[in-house]
Amino acid sequence: MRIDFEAVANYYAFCATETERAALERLRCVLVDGGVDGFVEDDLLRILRAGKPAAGEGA
Amino acid sequence: MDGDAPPPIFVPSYHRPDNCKTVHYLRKLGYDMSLVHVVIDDAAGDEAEYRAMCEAAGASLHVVDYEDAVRRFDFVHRKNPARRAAGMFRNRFFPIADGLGIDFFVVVDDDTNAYHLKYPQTRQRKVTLEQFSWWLCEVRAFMRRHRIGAFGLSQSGDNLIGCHPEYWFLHKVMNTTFYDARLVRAPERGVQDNDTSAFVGYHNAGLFTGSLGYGLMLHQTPSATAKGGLTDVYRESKLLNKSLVCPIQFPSAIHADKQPLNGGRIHHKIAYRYLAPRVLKRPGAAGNVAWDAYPEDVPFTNEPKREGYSLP
Repeated sequence: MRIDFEAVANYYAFCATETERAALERLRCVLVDGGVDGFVEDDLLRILRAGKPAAGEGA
Repeated sequence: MDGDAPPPIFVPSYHRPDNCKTVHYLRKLGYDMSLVHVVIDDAAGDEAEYRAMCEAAGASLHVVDYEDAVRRFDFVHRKNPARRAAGMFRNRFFPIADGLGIDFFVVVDDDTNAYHLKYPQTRQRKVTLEQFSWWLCEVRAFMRRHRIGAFGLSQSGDNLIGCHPEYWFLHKVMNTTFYDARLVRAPERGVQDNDTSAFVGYHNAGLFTGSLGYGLMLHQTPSATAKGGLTDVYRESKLLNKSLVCPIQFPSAIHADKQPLNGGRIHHKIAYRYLAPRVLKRPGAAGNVAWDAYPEDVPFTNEPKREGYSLP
């Protein structure tokens, strides 16, 4: 069976009922980022930006 | 819980007691060597040499039972005659970590001779101890915060076409891998290319993982032809085992093809569209990015469930 996760995400976002959404979340067919401690991707970008060495720094 | 101390580093090694580059690099960098654990197996026959090397470097040596590792490992396909795979031993790090009271560690292969800091449009720099420790601690804090079981850093080979700002996140998790032992146990399987098997497994199970596309980056060396390590096994199986087991595991999402831009090599190609779910931002929603959002889902493991499953 081949699942197109992009199509699943579109269905979840625009068409799914609350029951279907709960089922898709539990099956982990979509990953929902609730942003409790900040969004995952934003947190990663923060690490990348904070870790950038200043000019002249490093070997 | 973790304090400011950088995380322990586990180094799997095989037939490289005189050339374990990672240990020498970490010592030269100034990393706390009491946090460095070299792991070998008892069938390689070079324990004494490794012990001398580790004592000189100040690292700890752990020896795993080869037969036990084979018995517990899922080869997916036919084993190579040596019945040997890197993931077989990386999976055994978890009981060692349990014994040491460690619940978070980093795995670095034994052929690492440098880490670099690399950013788009900036000169690549060798990393200092302070920067190296900062990155390890930041990734650990990130994983703790979002309760992610495995995450990685990229390597120089991922940037062969150049370091671009839009490629700041990669799906792969290889070479410098961070594990939260409470959320993942023995994740690797396959004849070779066990780390690929592991990360495509996380993705296919709907678990968020990946690696940073730039920043702290492992400086890659050609390991498949270097002395020691699994070079003999690679030569024996002509590297095809390394490339073609993942398509057997996930045929709907991974296929093998001839890659003209990769020297005409037959290699696996991963269609993430069919492998991994998308991440959607829904502020205020309960969310399921955390690996333990449903406690019954963790720990993730690829260890065979049946006793003796992997016996010849």
